[in-house]
Amino acid sequence: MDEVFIEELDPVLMNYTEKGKRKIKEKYKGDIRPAEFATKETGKTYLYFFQHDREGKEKGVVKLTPFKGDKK
Amino acid sequence: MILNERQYKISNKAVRDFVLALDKLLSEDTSSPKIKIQVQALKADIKKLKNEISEYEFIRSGKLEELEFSSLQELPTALIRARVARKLTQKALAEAIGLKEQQIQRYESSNYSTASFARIQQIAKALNISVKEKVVLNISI
Repeated sequence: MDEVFIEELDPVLMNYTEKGKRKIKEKYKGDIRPAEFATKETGKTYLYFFQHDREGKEKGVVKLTPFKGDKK
Repeated sequence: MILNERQYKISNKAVRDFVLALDKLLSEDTSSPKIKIQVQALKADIKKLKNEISEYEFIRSGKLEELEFSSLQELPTALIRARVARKLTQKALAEAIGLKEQQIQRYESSNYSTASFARIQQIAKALNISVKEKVVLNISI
């Protein structure tokens, strides 16, 4: 995901401490993690983690791909 | 909160995977902001999982004699902890009161929100626990 311009992301998405994650959940109504920014390893790890519930059963996730849209 | 041995094993595996991913990240350019926030996220998740694992291990060790709770909302967590402290699996508790294992799994994963009061009393009896919480009449309602 080299095309992500991190400096243009909502600052709320730049803090993943417990406090930061609570703010993200409040604003975006879901769990969000930074993945595949630079290495595939974190992405794969998080993808597996979120695609399985605590019992190990598979579950669905939504992948968000940020991009610069046209401002109208 | 970890509810059973299966979840305990899965949480341990998640910690191992996260630590591996973290090690790999730390070998890259850690001054990059993109790496920095991934490191932060992984560290926070590892910490949270480790806390849950230690809590489960402590409760399971049987060293706990009393479970404190300060509101009715915390009662479901106390019931789950009491079951783990009694070394009862969800299946064993279910069988003790004539239910299917899945029913206890559903109760616990929804914090007993769908259980009737009669059922909660039945579970407390099966766990052989007593609740000594005071009911306080607050000044205003």
